[in-house]
Amino acid sequence: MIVRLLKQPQFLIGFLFIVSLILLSFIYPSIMDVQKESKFLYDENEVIVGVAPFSPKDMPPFGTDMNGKHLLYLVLEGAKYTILITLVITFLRIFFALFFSLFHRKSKSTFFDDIVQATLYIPTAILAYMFMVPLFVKDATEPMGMMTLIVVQCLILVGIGVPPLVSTFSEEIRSILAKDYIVSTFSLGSKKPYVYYKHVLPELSSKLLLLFAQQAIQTLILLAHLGVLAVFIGGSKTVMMGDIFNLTPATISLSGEWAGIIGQSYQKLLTAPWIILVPLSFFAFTIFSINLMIQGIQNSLESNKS
Amino acid sequence: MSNRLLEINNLNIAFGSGKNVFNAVTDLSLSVSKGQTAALIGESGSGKSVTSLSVLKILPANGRAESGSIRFDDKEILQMTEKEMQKIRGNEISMIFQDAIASLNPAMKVGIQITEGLKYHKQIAKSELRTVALSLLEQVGFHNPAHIFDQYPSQLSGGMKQRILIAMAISCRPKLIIADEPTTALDVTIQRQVLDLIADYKIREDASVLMITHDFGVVAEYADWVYVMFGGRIVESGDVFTIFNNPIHPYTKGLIGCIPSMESDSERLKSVYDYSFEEAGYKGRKFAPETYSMESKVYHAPSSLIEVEPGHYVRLFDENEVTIVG
Repeated sequence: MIVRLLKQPQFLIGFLFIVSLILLSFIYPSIMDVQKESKFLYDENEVIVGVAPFSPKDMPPFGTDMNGKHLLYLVLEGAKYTILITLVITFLRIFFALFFSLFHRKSKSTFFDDIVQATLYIPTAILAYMFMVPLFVKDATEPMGMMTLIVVQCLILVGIGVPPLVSTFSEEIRSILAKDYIVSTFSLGSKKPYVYYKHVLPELSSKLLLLFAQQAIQTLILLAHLGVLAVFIGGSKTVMMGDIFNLTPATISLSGEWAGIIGQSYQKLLTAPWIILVPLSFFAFTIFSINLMIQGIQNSLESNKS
Repeated sequence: MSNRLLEINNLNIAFGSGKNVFNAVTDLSLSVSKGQTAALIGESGSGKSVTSLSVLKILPANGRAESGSIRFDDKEILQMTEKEMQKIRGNEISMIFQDAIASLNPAMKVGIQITEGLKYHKQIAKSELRTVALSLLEQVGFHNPAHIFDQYPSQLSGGMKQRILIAMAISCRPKLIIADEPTTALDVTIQRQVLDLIADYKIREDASVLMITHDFGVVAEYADWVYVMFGGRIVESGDVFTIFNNPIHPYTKGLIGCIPSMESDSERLKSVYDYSFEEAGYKGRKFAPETYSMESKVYHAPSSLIEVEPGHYVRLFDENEVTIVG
């Protein structure tokens, strides 16, 4: 399966982009001449001619943010948090959803499905925001540490994604269990765990891969939305920004994930659009890469069938 | 100990719940004796397959046996737990399904599928499973079993797949085989091979067969006892000679009349409806049901199976409920 996937150019391109981004995120300080901040721009006479933020034209390749931090390094630094957190959330969503679907198949009750269907119409960003705000209040009064906060936030993001997936998986498993060959297997005396392990899960595996990719995209979009709502994974702190005549409080992300870069600067969309557009482009490219991988997986499955 | 291996009495099977309850099988009684082949014959939707699934307690999730009894080898199936049933399924009773294409997992090698029942019911070393499977493949007529073992269902023809299903069904040497229209999806040339395999197994192992079919030709050749079913009820039953020589119920006559004949000079093949209204009753009592359309099943009034001659039963409306004129 893996060999077949690696022969799919779309899968390979998407996979390489994401893996390179994560690797670079870890090793860039040791392979690049990192000069992370450029608050001022000087002319040849060492006279200040500009103050951050600088556009990509002034400070290639991506320009700087309000504090003069190079966006290239910010996005590279944030990549590991953004992508790895996304992958962990996605994996846990799929894992728990599958677990509940397999072991609580009686949850086929329409009542459960109705509740899940109703929640589908609530934007997940609003749902996540509602659950996370009390967390920040608690963190402000009793600090819980960045790692604990990240874990709890991830669990919230996992939790809001599980019920719709349980509904999807339950439906899928029901349709597989209704297939004639499953009835035939049961008629031979097979036990449920065997049938699930040998027949249901392999049949579900292609769907699982696709759902994994789909969920990863949804999580990335959700993180971006939460960033706009100033909800950052790993928490935030408020700093005063601007000059001494015009100090304004701004919330900045502690972990540096991409949504944090967007959230802390989205007021600058008109004056310094690159600060938003660079992390947004990385979100878009990552989502595009995952889509390429989905395409590759689908092509591989199709070629396997024919 | 009785000679009857399977005995179903007054079985009622329903689907759905509340206002949407549908009675698929009503008051069904039949038996299969040891070493005998009983045929359950009727058109699609008459409740034959549902009856067979209920014997193994593998009815679809919304179906249930509401009342009655299914006794197998003097044990009450309906009272058994799932664990007890798992020991019986495949081991003492096994089933051959009609659609071999759908009944085999397309993503699993057929050899592995054959060993599924053995893994559960027989103490066979993993390394021995392949040998046993190869022997089973040989028994069902494959000359190159080692090659077939590693094939996927899509690489086999319809007849080969059906033989794989038979190999799976006989793998644990069950006492009873339920063959649910095993030849429906096959062309005529293959049908005989498949039926012969089942008949050979029956003779070799002194097993019993419950043959579900809508083909009276198959019944004539392989069955000892016949149950004719319509609309979830048995309408006529008897030994195969009696049913063929002296069918009484118009529905049975219709089914027998549907067998194409070389001698017939009729321009079109006859259907069951050409026979069903020729006569309305037997010795003053009306046949039940009144019509033979699956869309409008009619069992208006209480009816019962009446023994018209020793061992020959026909469904008639109860005397005090409906009487015929003339």
